[in-house]
Amino acid sequence: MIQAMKSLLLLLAAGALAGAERPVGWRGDGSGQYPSADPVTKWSAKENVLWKTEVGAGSSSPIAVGGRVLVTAEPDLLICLDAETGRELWRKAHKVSDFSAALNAKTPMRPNQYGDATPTPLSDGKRVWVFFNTGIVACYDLNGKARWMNWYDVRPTTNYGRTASPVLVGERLLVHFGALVCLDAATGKLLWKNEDAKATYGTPAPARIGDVDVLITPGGHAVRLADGKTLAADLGHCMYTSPVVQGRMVYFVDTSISAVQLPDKPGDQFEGKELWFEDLSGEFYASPIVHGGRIYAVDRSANLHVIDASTGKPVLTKALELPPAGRSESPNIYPSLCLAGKHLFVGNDAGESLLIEPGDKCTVVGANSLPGGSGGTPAFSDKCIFLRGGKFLYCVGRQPVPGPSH
Amino acid sequence: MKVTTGPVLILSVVACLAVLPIHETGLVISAALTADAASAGGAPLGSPDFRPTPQRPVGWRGDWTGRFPGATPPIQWSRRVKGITSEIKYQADKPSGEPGDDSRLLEYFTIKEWLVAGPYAVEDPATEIDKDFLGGQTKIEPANDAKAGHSTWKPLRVGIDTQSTHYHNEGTCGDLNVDFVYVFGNLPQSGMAKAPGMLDNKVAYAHTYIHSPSAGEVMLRINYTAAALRVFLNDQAVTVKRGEGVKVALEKGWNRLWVKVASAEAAVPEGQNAWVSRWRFAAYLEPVPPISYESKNIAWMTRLTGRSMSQPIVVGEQIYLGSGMTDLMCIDKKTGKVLWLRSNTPYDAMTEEQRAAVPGIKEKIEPLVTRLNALNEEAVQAINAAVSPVGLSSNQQAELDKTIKAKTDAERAVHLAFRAIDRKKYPPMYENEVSASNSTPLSDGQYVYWVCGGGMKGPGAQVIACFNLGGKRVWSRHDPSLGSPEHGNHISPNLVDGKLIYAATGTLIAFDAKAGLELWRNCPADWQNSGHGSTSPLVVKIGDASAIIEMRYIHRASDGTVICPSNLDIWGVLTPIVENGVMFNPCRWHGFKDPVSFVGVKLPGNVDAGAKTQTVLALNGKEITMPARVDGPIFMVASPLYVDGVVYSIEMGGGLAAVDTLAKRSLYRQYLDGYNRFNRFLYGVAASPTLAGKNIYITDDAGYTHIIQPGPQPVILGRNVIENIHVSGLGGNPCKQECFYTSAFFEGKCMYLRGEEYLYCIGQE
Repeated sequence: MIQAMKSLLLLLAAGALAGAERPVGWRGDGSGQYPSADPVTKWSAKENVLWKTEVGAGSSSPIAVGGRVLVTAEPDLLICLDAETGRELWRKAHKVSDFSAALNAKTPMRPNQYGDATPTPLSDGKRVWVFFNTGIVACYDLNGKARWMNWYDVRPTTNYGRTASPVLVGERLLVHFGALVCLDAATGKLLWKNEDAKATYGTPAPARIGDVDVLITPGGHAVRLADGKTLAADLGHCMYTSPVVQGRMVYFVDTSISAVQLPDKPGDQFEGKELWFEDLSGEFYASPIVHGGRIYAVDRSANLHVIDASTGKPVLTKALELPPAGRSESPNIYPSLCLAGKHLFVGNDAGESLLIEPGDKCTVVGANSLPGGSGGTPAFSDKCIFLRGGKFLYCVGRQPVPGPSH
Repeated sequence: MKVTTGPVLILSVVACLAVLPIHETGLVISAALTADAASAGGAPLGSPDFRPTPQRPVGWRGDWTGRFPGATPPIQWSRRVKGITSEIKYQADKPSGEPGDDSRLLEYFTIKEWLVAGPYAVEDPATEIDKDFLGGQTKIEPANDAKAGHSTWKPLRVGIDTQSTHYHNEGTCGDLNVDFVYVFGNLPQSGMAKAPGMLDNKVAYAHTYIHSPSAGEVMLRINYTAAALRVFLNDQAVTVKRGEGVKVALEKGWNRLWVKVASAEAAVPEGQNAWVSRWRFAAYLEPVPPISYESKNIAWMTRLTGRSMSQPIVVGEQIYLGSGMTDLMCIDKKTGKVLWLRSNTPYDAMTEEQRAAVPGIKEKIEPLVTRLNALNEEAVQAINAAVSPVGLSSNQQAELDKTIKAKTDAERAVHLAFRAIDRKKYPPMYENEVSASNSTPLSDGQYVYWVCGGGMKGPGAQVIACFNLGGKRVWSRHDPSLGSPEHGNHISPNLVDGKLIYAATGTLIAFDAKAGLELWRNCPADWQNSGHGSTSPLVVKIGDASAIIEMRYIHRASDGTVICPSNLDIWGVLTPIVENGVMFNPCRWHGFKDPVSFVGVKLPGNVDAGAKTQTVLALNGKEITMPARVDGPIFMVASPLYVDGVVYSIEMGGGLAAVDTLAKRSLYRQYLDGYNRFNRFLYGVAASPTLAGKNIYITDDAGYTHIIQPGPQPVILGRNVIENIHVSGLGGNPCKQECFYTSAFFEGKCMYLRGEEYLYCIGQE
């Protein structure tokens, strides 16, 4: 009975994303918001863990799709688990040594100290794409059958490796190798490359201006997806975080915070209208949440900033109690913020997390921890949370109350 | 000793000796260089008679080599807190009387000698921490090898090599820990990807004896990461809070401090690390405020206007260095008094004509500049009133801090006002990592050139400026185009053939030194050339032409054209050295899983694009460089030093390696004693080693300076402490000790050493 309930719960969870019309990748659809999710508010190693599976270390996020959970792991792995049981269904390695072009490259690709598997996989419900710091991009079906795999000779632009996750718009796969590159999602064929829109560490965000699809990069470029042309530059700047797009608004959170309005018609070039610009103290690795007219951002040292999205003025700044006892270091808020159901999720890289009621008070309503942590952002589905904890992937959900045995 | 006395290497002889082995080439060229210096009539750098010229300027590391052969500075000095913490001695083993050879003075308040015992198994560390595993733990007086329940007491001298480390600059979180994972984990030298097992739910003891010459109070600070912890002083429980000191009373004579620490999960994955120890503590005995100091062989110490890594340079009777946001300071070398201070805001960098073109400048900017100038004057007066051999007490320093903060706030207001006018024309100058004034000034004896600014993580502007020695601005430029790499710019300018050379964000730029006009800029389309924004351009001669080495490339000085890659594969943020036509890099990158190695690369034979370098020395890292304590490379911030054919290099954790480039072998590899190296956000040793007279000076991030005799063995001639506790809480050291990131400038009998707060003149008072 318990097992049956558990299965139902997990199937619902995975199913919530399985048939998704929108692609599922880093922070779900990129916004970090899961309005239909209803996760548990308490968990620990001994409580509400439905399963845990050893997948290896990594800083990417898991994604749930088609009854499966897919996650990358160091150094070059894509691992597919059964969402119900956590059982491993298949895994694929991606070795640079398999590509003669990579071995003969002018500047040989070097593995990164901070991880090669930081980008999060991406799926349209039928296929999954994966990108590694080494320059490899691959596409599989959900059963692990390879559709295509390539190594691309594009120079990185970041000291600590490539961390931006791939983005899918229609059949265009956008990969921020350094230059922004557009691949044919079905074949991996390189469609265009934009050298001006250099990568930082965040993931670019798709936007639509009129009927034109563009991609807003963390470095502040707006690039037209049809042909890779730069329509605007210097819209804003983020080093580690990702810009957040809501309609025509784009928010950049870094050492400063700014709001830029995109035009209603793009033309061949445009200048974003900067509505406001404010200083922000702290160092931000976690991407923010924009919700209900407020911007929620947490700096590396766990200071929560609530900002009025219409003016940029601070509404609340408060130090979060992360971590609890046990450590003397800075908490390192690396995972990005998520809004799952009613609660904001703020976590650190040691497995400790807080649940917060969004609003101008931001009351902390839950504090949880798992042994070990990760810089990866968790993924939420209906009633489940998929969290990395050290070398494990945890599925956290409500454990059915044991009933009388039959 | 073969010494190059100028930054420009005369390689015309080298070109025709290309086939000679490295040591033969060295002999010939050294003679040529010595002859060159003599013919120029120049005294050696470090001599009081040395005067910079356009051909022999002074700047970063003196003349870019780090050698001051003409100097005769002291080998002993100190600045210590006046009172009990400078008199306390401590030892691990049970004393038999008064403190003897086994006892040592506190350095930077840190207790390093312990007896440790354990591990003892528990089921629940939180509740069983008070369990007595010794059969009388409230009255313990342990001795080396004495029984400790089922264990025995063993000595532990805490150092960087006695604690577990982890990635991200091999951080151990800023403390010199008693790390029980190391003590009981049987850790290999490297290959620590897998956490040691069997250490969960354990308890261990650490004990030390502290001798106080009188009864008195100290602040006991215990920083720890553990499941539970108990602290006892003379068998009385002390309640401690992580990161905060607690006042305790020491008895006259011997006291006993013991710490009991419990693990839950002793080693857990964290961040990018396979595991990090969570069974560790560090102990400090700090002074009770207010604090005053006493010093020895410090002639004067002068408060600076803010953090910076800018090195001082001496030109005649004056010292020049960068400070704070954008201040260039000029200090009288005899008295330590500030002669003048020039801020370099966008306003300062503009001509009258340029200012007139800024909308609203009169209303929005000029009142703020007027205020800044007034506060600069106030700051100079307050600083000069505080110059002394011993410095200020903590109370006095707090007052001076307020004056300097007001000045800094006033400058920030100027920058913000500019940004409010147009944030793209006036991007940030001051949000640089450490400081926007990190660049070391440069002088040709007539002018002082300096660069500041840089911003942080993207947008950023710089000011490039030229002053005469009296502080009159000759020219300056505000350049918003360069931006800032991820960690800001820390690059110092150079001078060659009448060109001022500067690099930022992967771009090498030449200015006409007289007028400040930009002559050329070259930005090779290669992200790796920008590195961490910390490698300063080096000038060399190739044949009759000048060339510039910057990070990955060698450029022609006349037009900036890339001649060829340097093929040095630098890992870390060091600047290579060039000696006898060979570039040396002691930290050659081989990937994140492999140790670095040592490489010597001969410069190309000409300055034509496409000319080739030649690797003449490649030594395997495993036997040559300091071993990494995790799999992979060490990290090097300090630049190497060449003395008599030996290259000395120090990695950021304080590991000193000496490589004989003539015999092509390692001479030694050794960790230097120290304080709390390997902080995650604090480089343990960033200052480059320097040669002063015949000795090598190495200063770590706490200002702890080792003096080492060059040669086949590391003969340590002196170890010197400068204690200075930040009242305002700058710096990353646990006891708020002032940080030192900068190597000193030496002249005559003096050593000019800058910390974050002070410039110290070390010499006879």
